[in-house]
Amino acid sequence: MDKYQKIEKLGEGTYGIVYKAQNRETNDVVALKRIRLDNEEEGVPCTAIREISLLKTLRQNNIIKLYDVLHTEKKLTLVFEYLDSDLKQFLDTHSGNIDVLTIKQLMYQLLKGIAYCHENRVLHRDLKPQNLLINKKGDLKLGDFGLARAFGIPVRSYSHEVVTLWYRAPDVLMGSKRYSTSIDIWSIGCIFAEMASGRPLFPGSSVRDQLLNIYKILGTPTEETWPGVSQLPEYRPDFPVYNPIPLEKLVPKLDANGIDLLSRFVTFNPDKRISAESALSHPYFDELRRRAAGSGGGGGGGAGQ
Amino acid sequence: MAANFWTSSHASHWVLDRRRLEEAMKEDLEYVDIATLTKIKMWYYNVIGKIGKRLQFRQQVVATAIVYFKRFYTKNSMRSTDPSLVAATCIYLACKIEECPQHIKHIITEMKGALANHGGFEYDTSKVAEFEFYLLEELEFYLIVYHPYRDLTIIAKELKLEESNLQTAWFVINDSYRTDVCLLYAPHMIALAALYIICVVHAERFTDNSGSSSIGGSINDDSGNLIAGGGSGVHSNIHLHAQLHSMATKKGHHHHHHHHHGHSTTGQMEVHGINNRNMVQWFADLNVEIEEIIEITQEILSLYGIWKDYTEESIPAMLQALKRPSQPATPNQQQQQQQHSQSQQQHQEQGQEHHHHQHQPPQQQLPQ
Repeated sequence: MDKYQKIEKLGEGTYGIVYKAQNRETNDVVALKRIRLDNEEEGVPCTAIREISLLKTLRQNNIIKLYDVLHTEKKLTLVFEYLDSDLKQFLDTHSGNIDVLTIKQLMYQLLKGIAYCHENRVLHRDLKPQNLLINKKGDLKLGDFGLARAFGIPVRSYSHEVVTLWYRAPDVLMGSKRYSTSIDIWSIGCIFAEMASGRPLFPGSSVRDQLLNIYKILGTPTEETWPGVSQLPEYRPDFPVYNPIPLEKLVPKLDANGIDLLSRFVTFNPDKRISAESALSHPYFDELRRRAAGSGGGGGGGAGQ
Repeated sequence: MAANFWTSSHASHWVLDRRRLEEAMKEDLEYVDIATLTKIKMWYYNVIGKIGKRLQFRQQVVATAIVYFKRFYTKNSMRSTDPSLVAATCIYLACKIEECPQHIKHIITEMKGALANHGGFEYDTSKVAEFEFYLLEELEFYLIVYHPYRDLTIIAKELKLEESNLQTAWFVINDSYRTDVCLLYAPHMIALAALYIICVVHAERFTDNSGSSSIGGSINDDSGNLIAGGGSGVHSNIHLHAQLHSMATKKGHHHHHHHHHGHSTTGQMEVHGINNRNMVQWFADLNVEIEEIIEITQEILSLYGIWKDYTEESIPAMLQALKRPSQPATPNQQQQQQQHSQSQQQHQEQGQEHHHHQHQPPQQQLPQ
């Protein structure tokens, strides 16, 4: 551990304390995630093992890099690349006022990262502003893969409690056990709206309240708007019936393309939700492509791999 | 078919060459011959399989545990480690990765049961937890393993393969984990070889596959009584070779396929309406290294040859030969043993010729 000089404590992650630190030899600033191994009964926590194994496999510009894993007595330290901020802090410091171009650039990078995960059969399962790391250059990287999993077949049931309530897809809220990449897409939609409006799209306080929040904006789903909804384990026919509110009223900052893309993210039917890959070629991002073509790069569009 | 496999750490770090495997066995081969070492390993794969079966794991969990075990032994000798501790920890770790976590205690209880007549299992939870980290390091934290099962399912769908054939191919893949093919080849190539074995080479041999072995379903039954391969293993290898070579050279040309085993006329494929000749053609048209399929097929078929005279009863003596002079090794004894092994090696070289011809350990070196 002498290799790294701790600078300050950054916070507490899913399973350990995160520090900012400096490599004494190279002077590189890194983030150290320390995991106490005092639970001798069960070895290295599952979440840590999952995060390590996935990050060892996933190598892409919009995914946080795991440099090293250090083991000392009773402690496991993951050495990550360091980014100074996350989307939540970023939103807070700008009081929710981010310019449209920045939103576009951040969204593009977010989708690049998640498209790469999905292509590699990895679900993030816990996308939220706190998990999206940002640096001063405007690079965005997905972090905290503690809940991520590589999805293989057959699709089995996962535990319910995976995505923070506000960003959780309605199919998951209603007990669907066959969820896949579409759950990350729903979260991306919520994050998109939050970036554009400055406040969370569906800030529910319980599962029922979360669903009510969603229905008040998107309308209460029916078998017609979402075939199969009534078959979901926790579907309740007694929910109040709301009519949808036009999204442009909620997020006036977005242009028509932005609204169209947002509506494709927060589509009730998970099978109809847009994929990360197709979202990237949505006209909403044409501006970035034009800029990249015009200026020969730049634009922070995160060309990725 | 496996685009994401190629970008995985499995592909970039854990497809090895044969030389590396030979290097890894060097130390152990100073004490036992290759057939014995293979049987010892087979015994541990069986232990892993048995526990997987008792705890009702998916086949993939067992396969991942076995792959970890094999990967660990590409960097360590069996002699200087305790394979039972390695096996237990591999099962434990595989459960975590495949999202069916088990308590260490649970695994330990199962190990104790499985090894009751084979020296027992004397490690507690903290030992396994401690070893888990060592294992993680040896695996370089690359823990996501790709298996041929998924590829097989995809290909079977494409070929509209009968359920029973799919099942048999599945069993061949189960058996393949007793060989090193999962360390040497990409999973889809193993899936193809399994299909090749059942559809083309041995179609007529597999009629009843109700027997299942301890790793999971197998085309070989528990008693070691072979359904496939056996004495004719060498014969079928030669035949296979010729057939595949002709496929490779006649690629694209229509050619007659003769049944390679005259004693049977109705292969299973034909019974189920898939023509053997079509299968040969299908393989010939694949855009893959046909040589690799030959190698994998041979590797699997030669396993059945070794399996033929595998008996659990002979394992303790083999283990003793491997662990000589002090037995059985625990981590505390490891260092001591490693020091011994240097001088042991010289003794061994003198007695080597003798050793190659018989499996039981030379008596003069057995400890009291």
